[in-house]
Amino acid sequence: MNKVVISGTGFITSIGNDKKDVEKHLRELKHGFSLVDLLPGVEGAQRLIGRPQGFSFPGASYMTWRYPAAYKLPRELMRGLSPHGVYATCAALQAIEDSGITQDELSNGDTALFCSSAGSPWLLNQNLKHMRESDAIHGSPFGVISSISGTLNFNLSTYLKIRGGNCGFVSACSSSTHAIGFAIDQIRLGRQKRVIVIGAEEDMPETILPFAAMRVMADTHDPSRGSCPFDVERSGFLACGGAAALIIEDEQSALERGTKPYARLCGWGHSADGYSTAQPDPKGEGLLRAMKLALEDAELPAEAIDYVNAHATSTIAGDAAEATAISNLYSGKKKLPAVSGTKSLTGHGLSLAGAMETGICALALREGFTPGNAHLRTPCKEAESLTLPLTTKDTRPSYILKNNSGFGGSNVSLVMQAV
Amino acid sequence: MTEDATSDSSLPIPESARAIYSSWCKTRDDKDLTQLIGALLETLEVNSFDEVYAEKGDSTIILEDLGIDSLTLAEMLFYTEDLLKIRIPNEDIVKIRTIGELKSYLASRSKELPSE
Repeated sequence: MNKVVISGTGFITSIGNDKKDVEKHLRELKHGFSLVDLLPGVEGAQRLIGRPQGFSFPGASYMTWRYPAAYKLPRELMRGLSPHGVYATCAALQAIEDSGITQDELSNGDTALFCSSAGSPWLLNQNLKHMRESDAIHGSPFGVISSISGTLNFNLSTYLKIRGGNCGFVSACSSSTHAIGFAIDQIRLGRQKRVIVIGAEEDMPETILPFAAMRVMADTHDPSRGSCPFDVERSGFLACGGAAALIIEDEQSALERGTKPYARLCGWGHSADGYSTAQPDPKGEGLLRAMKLALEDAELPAEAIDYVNAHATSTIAGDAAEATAISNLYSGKKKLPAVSGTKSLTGHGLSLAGAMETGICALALREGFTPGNAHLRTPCKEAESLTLPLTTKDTRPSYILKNNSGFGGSNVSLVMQAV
Repeated sequence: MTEDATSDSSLPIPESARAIYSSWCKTRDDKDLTQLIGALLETLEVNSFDEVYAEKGDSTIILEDLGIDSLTLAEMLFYTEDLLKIRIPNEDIVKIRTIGELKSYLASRSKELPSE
């Protein structure tokens, strides 16, 4: 089987719009939250969120949108995008430049595009509002392709002239981790030489506030209490928007181009809880199974792992189930890995989470650090047996186990190796 | 510090195009209508209109001669509908191939427009 590496990364996140800034925030454990009036004048909609800097989307028309001057996005692209599509394009351009892929490689059929997002409920709402105001006689001709959940695939495959596979992954907060898993299989089987994986979400009220109605978001204006995975005082997650792009590539292909890989992707596993539409199985058995399958796929014992990048959203039920699953994986084992949740800094990016955090792990493996647990004061009882460093260490892990879980108890684990 | 997430759904039709539109509402002048179409196309970064129209006039074929795709035409009609507050049904759109046909169509719909 072909070996698989990460050969490029791109970040538009609340903790930085490039890999250097993201790494700095991770090393210093500096969070990216700010207080935003998601619905001006509605007190309960004033929320801490993680919003990328340098962008603005004041109205439904792309002509009013602003993005960092380093990017030059043509009108023919912009008219079909939603705000998270702008984030995704910027992240994708970074990752492509980082990996050194040529236009010929993008367009020769050997490169696929796997995307994950919940679409743009904000733009869908804006377009419907416009139609309602015009007696439903007219609306934006780009209303569908800019807002439904395939929008990243429609727009970016066209803009980047992709001729390989082009499809999306929808498993809520494990969506882009699933995309990475299936990209690994495609490359191992020789069906594609590389896959551009993109996870992106919006930081608009339509994407974020429905989670508050589910009572899974932290309702505080104190960032250190808003997102504090594994802490006894955690009360829910803080949301973020942004995009992350990864070039998942056949190792030989990357080396032949002279690209130094970030990390090797040596195994993955996935499972479902079969338990609840929204809550995790409290025993974490589904996630435990995904972790074991990933280790089995990588042909590694659990003790080989130096660092677990947990899903750890800071919800009461989710963190408890994950801590139980990791504790059970290491029950009776002599060597325990460091465990941390980086959503304490970035916020929870839903479909974006997997690609963003796998990118963070890629930086940790290449630049040599192990992210700590920001905002952790007192670990919850389920996490008592875990090793939870409070600061980021200048230690390069050899192997990382990376988890994500989504609604319906959809679990994915990846095993990553330093190269 | 807090930030606003506004939700303005109005279209950014430039003031220059709105001024030409106001003028046409008063005059119903053919030149004003040509200018209005040019201004709407310019908003969509179609910058070839003046040069092509100078050569081919009303027989300018919108898609072919101006080098625009059908989505750009759909976008232009969206702006036109919004500015003129009219509906252009699909069965009418397929009959419009040239700038002359577009102008005749808009002029024929001008009875519905306010006379400012």
